[in-house]
Amino acid sequence: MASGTFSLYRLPYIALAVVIDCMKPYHIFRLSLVSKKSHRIARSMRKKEGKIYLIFAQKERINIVYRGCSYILFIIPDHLVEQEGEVFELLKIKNAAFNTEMKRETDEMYIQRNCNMFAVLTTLLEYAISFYGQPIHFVKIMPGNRWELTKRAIEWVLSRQETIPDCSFRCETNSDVQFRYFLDKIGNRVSKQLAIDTVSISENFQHSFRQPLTAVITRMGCKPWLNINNLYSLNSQYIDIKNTKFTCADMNSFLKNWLQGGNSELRCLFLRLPLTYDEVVLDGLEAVQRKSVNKIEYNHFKNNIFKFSSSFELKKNDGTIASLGVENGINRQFVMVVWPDLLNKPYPAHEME
Amino acid sequence: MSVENAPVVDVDEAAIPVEKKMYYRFESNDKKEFRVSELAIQQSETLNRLVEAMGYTSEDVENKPAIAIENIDGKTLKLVFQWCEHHKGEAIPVDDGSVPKIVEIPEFDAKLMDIDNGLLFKLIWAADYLNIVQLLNVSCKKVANMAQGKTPAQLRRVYLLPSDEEDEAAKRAAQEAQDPRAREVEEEFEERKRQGGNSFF
Repeated sequence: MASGTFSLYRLPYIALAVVIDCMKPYHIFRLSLVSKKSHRIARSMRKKEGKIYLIFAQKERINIVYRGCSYILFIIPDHLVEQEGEVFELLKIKNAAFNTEMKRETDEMYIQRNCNMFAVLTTLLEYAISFYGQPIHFVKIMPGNRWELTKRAIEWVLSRQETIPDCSFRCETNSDVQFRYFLDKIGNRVSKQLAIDTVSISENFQHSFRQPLTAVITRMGCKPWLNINNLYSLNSQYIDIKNTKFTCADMNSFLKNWLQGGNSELRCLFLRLPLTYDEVVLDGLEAVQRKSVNKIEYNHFKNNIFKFSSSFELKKNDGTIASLGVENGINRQFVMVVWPDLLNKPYPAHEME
Repeated sequence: MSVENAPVVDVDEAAIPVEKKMYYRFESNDKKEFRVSELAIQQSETLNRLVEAMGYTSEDVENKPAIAIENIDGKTLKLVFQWCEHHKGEAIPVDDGSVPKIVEIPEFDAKLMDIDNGLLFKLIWAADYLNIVQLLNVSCKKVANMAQGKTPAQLRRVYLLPSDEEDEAAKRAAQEAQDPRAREVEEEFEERKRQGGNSFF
């Protein structure tokens, strides 16, 4: 064996599997690009539970995530500056060929931009999807992304898979057009978690959802723009909206709509809303005020617990009970939780006065 | 080779205890002999089972021939037993399924594995054969670390991975070696094509 070289594939099977287990996920991925045989070996020995993340920002990235740890497979920067000591290499995948650059210090592989970045991105995605045997799990749209490329790539993703489990949108520059596109084209195709962070939209931004948003979890942290009809169209189990402009009359209307079967999937609603339970909110509702000596615990998403000792009890005709937390506290939240909780704990009627 | 004449390599003389403890004798395929403590042997599932099955007493160890390990040479076996003596009494690690596998290379192991890659290959082979889980982990981790900062083409050079063309050529050569008639048929086919024949049959 020549100095600095090692006959990897002459190792016994178990030892080869341990070597590959010890490699970082992007090393295994690069190994798969060496040859057909390497692809077969790397594919059969890679861990199965990786999730593919597609991130649109100033640099597009394709990541693979194992147990919450993210590993960058490729970065597509807006331009590459040749620096001393860095290695340029022509990478061939199927019929496509593109220049790559290895940043030794960070162990990151950059793709050099050429005239058709869409083709490069989709070739890499297609390869990653095939290698990991997984659809794209997470799409993240960040400030500084190249919108035309982002849009085309997302359309390509959605032409290949019915839903995207996890999706996040954040944009700090004026982004009414992007945001509207996101809500119309992507919002209703997100199945598990939809997160909308800081979005710079115009003061009078309004939007009607073409279809209800059905992600299990919907979080919004942008400027208050939702009207009460938008809230009816969020058919998530968990809704968390940081800024709202709902009025007491809006919330009264929302609660009446819920009692009549609206927002049927709802389990938890958290609205940052400085609301007092005056006559307007509860007008026309058979809401019973309840108190308990010890705090009642409601287990909800991501192992969080909402605790309250004073609430209003609302009951649907089918017997479903919701508690409206009336302790606004420092966060001044409107909180509504529907029983049983996520651990299937039933409404603790015996603990209530 | 008699016990008296064997080139006995004491792996860790300082570790020889005052109290009576069992030391087994092993012989490599190039007739190097090693004395290894019972506790160190427990790091190797293969050797541990072997000595348990043999049921040797202290007298047996001295009077019977050293246990032969046919597949491993003395240089490699010395490293293996040095490692086992250093790590004796340590728990055998269990795979927790982490990605990537979490393996720290202690300073002693790093020094032990400061060897050429040919010997490292033999050490991994021995760790696998003798089923020494943690030695296999650290030695394989060292090989995995070679991928750091490498492009696919560099990985091919470092790990001596054949290209698609080389794999194809090797496959053809293996097929021909298995069936010499296949080559004759192919040559005959090529010859007929040259002569303008439309059909082989």
